[in-house]
Amino acid sequence: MPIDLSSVNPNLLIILPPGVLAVFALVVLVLDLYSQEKRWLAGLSLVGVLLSLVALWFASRPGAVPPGDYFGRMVTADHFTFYMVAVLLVAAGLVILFSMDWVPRRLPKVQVEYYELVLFATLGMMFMAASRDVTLIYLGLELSSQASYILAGLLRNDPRSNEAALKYFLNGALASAVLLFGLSILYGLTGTTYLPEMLVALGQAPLPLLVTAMVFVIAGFGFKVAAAPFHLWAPDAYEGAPTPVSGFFSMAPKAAAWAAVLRVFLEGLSIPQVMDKWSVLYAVLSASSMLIGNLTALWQTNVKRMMAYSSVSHAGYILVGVAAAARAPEVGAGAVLFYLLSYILTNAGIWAALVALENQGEGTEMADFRGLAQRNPALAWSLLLLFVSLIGIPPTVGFFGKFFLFRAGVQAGYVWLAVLMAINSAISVGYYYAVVRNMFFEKTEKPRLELGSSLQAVVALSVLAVLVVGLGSSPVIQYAEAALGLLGR
Amino acid sequence: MHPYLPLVIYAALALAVPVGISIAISLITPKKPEPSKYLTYESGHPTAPMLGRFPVKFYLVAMLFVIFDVEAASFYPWAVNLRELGVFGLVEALVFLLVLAVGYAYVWKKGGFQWR
Repeated sequence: MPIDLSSVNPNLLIILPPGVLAVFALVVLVLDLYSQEKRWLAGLSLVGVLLSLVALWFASRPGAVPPGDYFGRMVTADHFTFYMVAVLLVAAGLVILFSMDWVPRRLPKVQVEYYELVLFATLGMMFMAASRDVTLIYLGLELSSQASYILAGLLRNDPRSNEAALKYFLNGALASAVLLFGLSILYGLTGTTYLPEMLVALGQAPLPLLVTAMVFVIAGFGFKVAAAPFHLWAPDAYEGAPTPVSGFFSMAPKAAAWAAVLRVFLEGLSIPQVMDKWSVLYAVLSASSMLIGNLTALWQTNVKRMMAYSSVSHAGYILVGVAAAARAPEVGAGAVLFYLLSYILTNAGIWAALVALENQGEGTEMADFRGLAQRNPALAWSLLLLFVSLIGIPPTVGFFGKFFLFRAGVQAGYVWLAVLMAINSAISVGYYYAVVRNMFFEKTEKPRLELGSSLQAVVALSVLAVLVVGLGSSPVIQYAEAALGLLGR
Repeated sequence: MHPYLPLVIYAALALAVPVGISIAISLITPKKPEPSKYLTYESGHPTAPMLGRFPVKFYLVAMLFVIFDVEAASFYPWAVNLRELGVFGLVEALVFLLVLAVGYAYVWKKGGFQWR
């Protein structure tokens, strides 16, 4: 049954997905105060995320909301917004799903606060991805960061969790200050916080000041996405934070930060004089992230820490696309958007396995993976497939993600960077194989590892998505590349 | 007139008022020195040497006060522009107030205001 939406104010329609999520966050918060049984509130949070996705589908249908800016130019309706908000909601849904068994065991006193904070963080990220105004991008970043700092320290009696929260908070606050300083210079130069107007006004700005601002913005975002050499907080934060929270950190906040990077640099700072400069800076960051991330990951004995360095190296791969987007915007940005989706889908299953180990009272050391193929063959083979996807071997989604990045790099003339990416993918086999070797070639006396239905669902969804999105990647990449075409350039 | 001139005047006023008040107080007030007046004093709580431990309750109350104070302060600009903003402004303020009330209920119910 077609529903006529022509009489509905598009302002309300475009704000519907975050609105639904905000309402559910508040309702869950209030219900928490009056209910003894907390488990169903996790389900309610998940329902909120799913309804938000439905609202997004509703608002993103052609003709429902004409492309443009709404709410006083604060929220943008375009393919980019729809794509990124969908990706973020999928990430939040997967995180809530794989936390459901873990949270009542490890966080009995703050169960609902956990879901609350995930929802509020996601809300902030949705606005980061959906806005073309740097004030709202920054506010969204802060909302998601503040929630993330608390999430990192939720295990209040664990000193390592406290350490993770403190390190994440101090580094994050510094990064926010650096970013805000850069943005304030941009505002001083152009007199506007609205990116398309900023682009027009930048032509008259003095170049030295512009480059200063650009460097500050790059450094601020560099911290948030943990690109080397701004990555030093990441391993400690990932290792100390509660395991599902580390999984959340590696998926959603980074994706939102990448969305903000693409918005700010492709819509605000895309005049030719500075485009070449930030392109080269991002290329250098990319090379250093790939090399430092991969080479340090080789020496890790803790899988959470290894995944942190792995995420640094993946930030490096994504930066290939960002650097390329300066010269080939559609291809570069499309490759970045596709890679974000592929990384989230792959990571969800791996972190679900780590959560499963903790659910049985075990750690996340490399040694804890010994004999996993004996203890739960289905999980071990699933993990093998997911690691294959992270390395980038066909027919998984990780291969197609890397392939699109590689193509973008070559098209933009960054052949050396693309080759470096291929070499680094080969290096990364080393540490992923260490986990696989422990799983398949070591013996163990431990009992069978039970996953529980919600964790099984996440692993199954992850494996399925890695294969389906990988083999059916052409509509996704077409949508992702078209996302930039509508940015109003 | 330079566009930043009002800002300069504002800054000068912001500096002049507290300095002026301080000077006026030191000129006008009667001075009856007494030893207990010179003791350090903090929120009705006699100060110990600051190297020792300090109850975290003070920090919590101070933080809650700052949060709600800042929230209240953001109503002033809305009140000034109430007529121009109209129904839209009213709805926005009510949404804001609703979110604030949920936070208030949360803090209350979780025992944030209890002085145990």
